[in-house]
Amino acid sequence: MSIFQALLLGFFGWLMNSHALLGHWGFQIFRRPLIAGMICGLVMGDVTKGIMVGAVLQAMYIGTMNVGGIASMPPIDISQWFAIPLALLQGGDAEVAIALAVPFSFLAQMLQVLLMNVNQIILHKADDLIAKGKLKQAYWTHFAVPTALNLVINMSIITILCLIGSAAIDVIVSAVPASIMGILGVFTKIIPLLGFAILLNSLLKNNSQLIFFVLGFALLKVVGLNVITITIIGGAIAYVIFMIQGKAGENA
Amino acid sequence: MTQLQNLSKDKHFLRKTMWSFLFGSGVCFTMERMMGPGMVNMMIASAKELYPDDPEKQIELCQNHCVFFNTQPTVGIIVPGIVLGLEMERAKTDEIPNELIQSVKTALAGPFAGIGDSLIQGLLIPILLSIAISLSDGGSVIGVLFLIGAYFLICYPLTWSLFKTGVQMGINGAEQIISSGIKDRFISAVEILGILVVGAVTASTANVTTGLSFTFGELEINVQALFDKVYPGLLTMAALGGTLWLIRKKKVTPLKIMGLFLILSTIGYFTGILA
Repeated sequence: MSIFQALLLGFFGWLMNSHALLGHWGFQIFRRPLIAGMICGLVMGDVTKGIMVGAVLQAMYIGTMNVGGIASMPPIDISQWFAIPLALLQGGDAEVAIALAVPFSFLAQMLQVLLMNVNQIILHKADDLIAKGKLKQAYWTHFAVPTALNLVINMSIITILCLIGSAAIDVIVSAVPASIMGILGVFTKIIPLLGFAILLNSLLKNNSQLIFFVLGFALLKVVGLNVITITIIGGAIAYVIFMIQGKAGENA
Repeated sequence: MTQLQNLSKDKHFLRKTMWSFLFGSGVCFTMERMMGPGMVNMMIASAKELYPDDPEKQIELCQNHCVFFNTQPTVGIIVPGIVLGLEMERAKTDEIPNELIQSVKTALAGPFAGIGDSLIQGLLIPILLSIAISLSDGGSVIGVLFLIGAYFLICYPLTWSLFKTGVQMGINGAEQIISSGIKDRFISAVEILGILVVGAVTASTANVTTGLSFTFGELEINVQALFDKVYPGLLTMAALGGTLWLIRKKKVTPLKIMGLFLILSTIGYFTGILA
């Protein structure tokens, strides 16, 4: 594989995952293995084989969903961009692509956790910019900084792994200290509490309203209802409160 | 003020704000605020039109939305639309409190995320993918072209019209609330709805568990299982209560809380207290 090809693959691997093409809306479709297969095939000179490999990968990942930032299966969004080309170099066997893409996806998941936490720093930097009134700068900070970071990281990973090949992957996976990822893993689990606490703080008028928070929490965790049902129940409760207030107002 | 009325029909303004949201919602994704930055970017994009001569109000507008927000981008786009409509009314009449907008936003984001995830991620996209895979048989490019084309043809009109509908709903809803004099009752009722939904979304997203377990001779006690028997999610609730107390009573800044969480994560990981 030529360096130019590896660079192209790194670039497209970044682009399709970057939200730069039609934002979060476009991301839903551009990250899919079928499209990655076609582009990898184009770069490697064998579109037909590329699409065929992409189709097999796509079938494996047809049902994956991303709910609340957590994917149901470790994502091959990045790893497919070197797995498919390397498989094409070895004859276009889909099994080879799977064997390369899936193990690395666990590393990719850890990378995502890392990047999400770096985004926290960017986020609070943007908050400061907003407080100072630099709205346009905050706007571009939100978008450009994570995108640039992703460019450097994703493009490097894809390009280098395309050039070095599969042997490097095992070395990388074993080199990451488990403790760092473990700590970040725990951190990622508890940091939503900060977001929810901030949101709750802005919604609460007085502390007695917390009982409704507990109710909503219990309905989901203990009773096991889903969010839509809970919102409907909440709507009914809100309506009752609304009516009671009306009656109280009339009698006053 | 007719300027604001014309804004809701201004295609250029609507497109600008919608795409500001879509470009900002996934790219700076964190577990703390998820798609929050998208909402902020949409407000930044509309700040000049909503408060043309008041930079402080512009800042306040954006800061109000630096909170947690999560929904599904294709269908849930209606929620930013509604929020934009409400903010437009707020700019016009200043009668709509921020708490109402946050409550409505929170209350609607959850259900639309559920609807969007089931409809788009769970149904539409897998169907399109299946058709595309079978069309790609033998390596044909038609599958890929179909995938991109179908998504655009189906979802772009959907997303665009949902956004516009949302803006109109926000404006009309707000006007109705203000004009019929039921504003205060409505606001306090919706706030309660918002708090309830936050409770539910917290339960589904955050999960604080402990990995501790003790052995007393023959008896092995798993602390998390014990907590779950008493009340599922007890630890998560307690942790949220603690964080809320820090923010409300002790006025600790979010950045300091993040640092605290990092220290707790390190200790928790090595001692097994936090799994």
